[in-house]
Amino acid sequence: MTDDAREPAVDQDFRALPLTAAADAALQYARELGVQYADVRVQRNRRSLIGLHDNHLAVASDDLDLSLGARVLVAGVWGFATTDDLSPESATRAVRDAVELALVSTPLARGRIALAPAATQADRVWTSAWRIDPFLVSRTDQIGLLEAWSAKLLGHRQVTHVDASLVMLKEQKFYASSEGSTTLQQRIMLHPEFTVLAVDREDWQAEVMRTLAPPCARGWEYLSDESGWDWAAELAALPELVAERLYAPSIIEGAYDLVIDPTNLWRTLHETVGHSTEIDRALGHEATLSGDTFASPLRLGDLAVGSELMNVTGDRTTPHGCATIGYDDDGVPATSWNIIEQGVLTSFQVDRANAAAAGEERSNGCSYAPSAGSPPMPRCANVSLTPHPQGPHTDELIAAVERGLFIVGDAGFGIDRHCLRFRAGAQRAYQIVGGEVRGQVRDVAYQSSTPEFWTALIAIGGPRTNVLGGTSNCSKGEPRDVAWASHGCPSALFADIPVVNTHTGAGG
Amino acid sequence: MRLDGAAPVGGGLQPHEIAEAGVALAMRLNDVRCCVLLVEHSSSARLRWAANTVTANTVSNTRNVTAIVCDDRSATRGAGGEKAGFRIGTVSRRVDRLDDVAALVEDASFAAHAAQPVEDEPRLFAPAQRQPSADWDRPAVIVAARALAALTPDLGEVLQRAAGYDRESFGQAQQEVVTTWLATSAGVSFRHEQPVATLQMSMLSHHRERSTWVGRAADDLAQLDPAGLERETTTRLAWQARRLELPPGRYEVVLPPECVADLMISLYLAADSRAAEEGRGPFARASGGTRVGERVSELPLLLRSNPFESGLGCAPQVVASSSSAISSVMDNGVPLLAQEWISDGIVQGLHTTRHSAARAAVPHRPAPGNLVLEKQRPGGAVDSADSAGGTTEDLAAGLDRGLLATSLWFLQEAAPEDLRLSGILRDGLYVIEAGEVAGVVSDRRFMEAPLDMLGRAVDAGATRRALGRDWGPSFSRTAMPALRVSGFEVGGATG
Repeated sequence: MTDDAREPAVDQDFRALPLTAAADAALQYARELGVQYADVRVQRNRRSLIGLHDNHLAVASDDLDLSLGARVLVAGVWGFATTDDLSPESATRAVRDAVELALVSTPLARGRIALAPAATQADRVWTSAWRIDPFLVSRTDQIGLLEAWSAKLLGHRQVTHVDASLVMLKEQKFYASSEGSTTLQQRIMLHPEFTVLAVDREDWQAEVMRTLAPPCARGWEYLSDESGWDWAAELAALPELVAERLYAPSIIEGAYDLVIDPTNLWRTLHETVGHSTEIDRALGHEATLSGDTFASPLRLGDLAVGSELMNVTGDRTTPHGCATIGYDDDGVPATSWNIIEQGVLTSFQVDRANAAAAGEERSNGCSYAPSAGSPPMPRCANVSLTPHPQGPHTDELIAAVERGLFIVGDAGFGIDRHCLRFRAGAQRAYQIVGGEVRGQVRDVAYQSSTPEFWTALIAIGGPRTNVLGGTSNCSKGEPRDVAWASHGCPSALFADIPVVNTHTGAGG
Repeated sequence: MRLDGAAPVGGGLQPHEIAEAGVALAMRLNDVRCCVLLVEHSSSARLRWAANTVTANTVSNTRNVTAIVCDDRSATRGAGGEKAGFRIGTVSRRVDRLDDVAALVEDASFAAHAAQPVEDEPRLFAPAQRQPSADWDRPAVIVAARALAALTPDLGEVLQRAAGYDRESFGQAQQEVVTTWLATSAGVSFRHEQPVATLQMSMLSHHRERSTWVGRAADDLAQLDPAGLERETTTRLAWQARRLELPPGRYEVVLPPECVADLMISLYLAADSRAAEEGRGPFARASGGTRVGERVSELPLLLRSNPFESGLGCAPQVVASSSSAISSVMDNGVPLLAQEWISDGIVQGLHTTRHSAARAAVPHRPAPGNLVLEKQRPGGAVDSADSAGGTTEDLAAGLDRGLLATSLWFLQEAAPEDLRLSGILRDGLYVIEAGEVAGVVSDRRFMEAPLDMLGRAVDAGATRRALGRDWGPSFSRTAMPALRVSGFEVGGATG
């Protein structure tokens, strides 16, 4: 295994593709045509999925897609063309097709795009940080590890079934622009997950619970030496936890003080702030698909989203973050910025074409397409809630609660089309009585609306409570494209949040 | 794993050459019993707009080559002494040069060695004539950006009018042609061009409180009419001036052809003989056997497919890149003929593979890639789309009290045993009183089982080409009538 651990670098077989030949031919042709701006991306994605049910292999796939995308700006209108033929002739044809498409689309363009300026990035190379390339681990060993851990879980009396899954992505991107920028990047991400089912046949009850380990940009070491997550502890504890919930009382609806663990809070942050501050959503581009947002560029510096304790940053720089990259698909270097400052909306997540619409002089680097087969659009960065530098530990937050719930792990989230009214489930919920955690309660979901919820934030944990959660399955666009993103949160205390019973409560 | 290298000038193979070379190279490998090579070139031009401006566009040309190899060491005996099946390996990627084709078929052969045995027809279909089709060596059809130019001037005016009248238009227009070459070691050499053009338009107004949708499909974008779609949306937005409450319950509903298309496609894909024989799905009888021969509707409904249907043409031979419950790679090349699935409201047959037909001792009925539903008149004739009456509005005018839907969204299988589907009635659910639109209710959840629904169909209109919103371009060759259905289950608001 140590042979596979080497300094992360862009794989040689991607470098050996005719990247420069294709880009040079395409950009030369674009220059001859006199377009405002042009770029060429070559991207190769390798996606692997393994799924086990009760230790039997249920699904195993390993897909490779490689394509070239050429984007041009012609008199303020975009055109995009894609092909899986990497020859210089094909790249040139793609530019020609893109220019023709820009001209054909012009009657439908209401405004004209002006790209926010960006400094040239010549010959830049970047990789995410991994020690062991998981794609160099044999399929047998990958399945073997999932089988071994599944078997341990199945060995517990309380556990009836175990589902294990492992999603892995290796994304390799080459980008070259008419402004002289060239970037070469590789990142590796993975998301292992175990779900256990406990069944009480006497009472005919069943409960499901899954691991909380987040997706991250790491290598096989995430599993093999447990870098970044204590798998041994989580898997050892899971059977007792799911069994406990089997016999836990059902929640009584009402308003509760909630201490929310980062393993749950990341999801609420993703949906209420992550999506609501994507600039294209604010411009209405997703209105008939994912929906629109309460956040408007007209309310920058003015719209109160939460309490003064609420500081939210966007970034594509956090180590091991799933949206972390060196340079975005507009050639802009990754950076970090404030989205919410002391509860007030400060900025959006933008790309170069839409920076001005958000009152920004420059892009903050959120242009992204999961493959070179589709044009980039603003996608969610790592959006994180800032811990309080002298903030308390989770135990101290709990100690301050007379009657409340401690919420751990995300489950079953629903939100309306304006990023406002939402309902958030939980993997586990614990009663807090007189500052102490008692046993679990089941059927818990908290329900609120974005500004009401975040205004109820009355205490925020310190840096030691911070966990980088995230998703490997954020979809957007037409046709749907999937991206990964990470969200760091501390533990936090919210006052008087409505809690519903998902079993007996008002059907959603 | 082999790399996809650059295609050298003059060194790249033509698609038909890739198919021929692939078959020849595969059959030279050890232990290969038979093989299929499938080359597909997808060429499309599309654009998307939102809030009255274009937001994304793409011209796309991709070529995929699939090698399917059947391993010859397949006659292993199972525990009971019966044949345990044979092994099939499938690998799919872009290839351009001969050595890449060789690598592809080798990889498929390795995959076959490692595969689990499958039960299927042991021999590839062998055609009576081993002659390539006349257009075999023609190149792929390429869709250029200018295909969209048939629409963009009119669409531009639609968007400008929308902005002028305080409305917001959203939508997408797409023209695609997939050119397919199929070659098998049993002598099939078949080339097919499949065009599809779709235009979908949503129109919102009154601060996005009112929302409606229309969509159409054709072979060519030039056949579609943005201004005509815009006129429909204007009428429907006006219908939304009055908002009404409606308790969940079962209602008499008029479904436009677009909604009927979504439900019938789901039914068609579940109408396989094997599932019914095994007691699964809506065509299985609880007491055993299938529902072939049973009356499922009091209306004289005809549900049929025909690859040569005028305006809905599709491949006249089976093209299968993978085996599933409803298709088999061993049937590649099997000729597809017109089939009647339901006639005069009675189930006539379910679709089969050669293998599932032989097992169940029923006629072999492979499934073409289109679907038509019509109301037959006595004597078997059907109303044409031009005949008087029979539009969605005509059916709604006949409703004393009921609902008129616009589109379905997010169909999900809620119960596989009767194919009960849940979803959303989206972008215009209107209350009809005395044949007139009284107002609109919010988007609602619904639950309906398509086969059951045919049994509650009270009337059907004239059939026209219709694009199901949920299935969209992935199954676009459908022609449906509007249906008036009783007892349609409408749920709560989507919130």
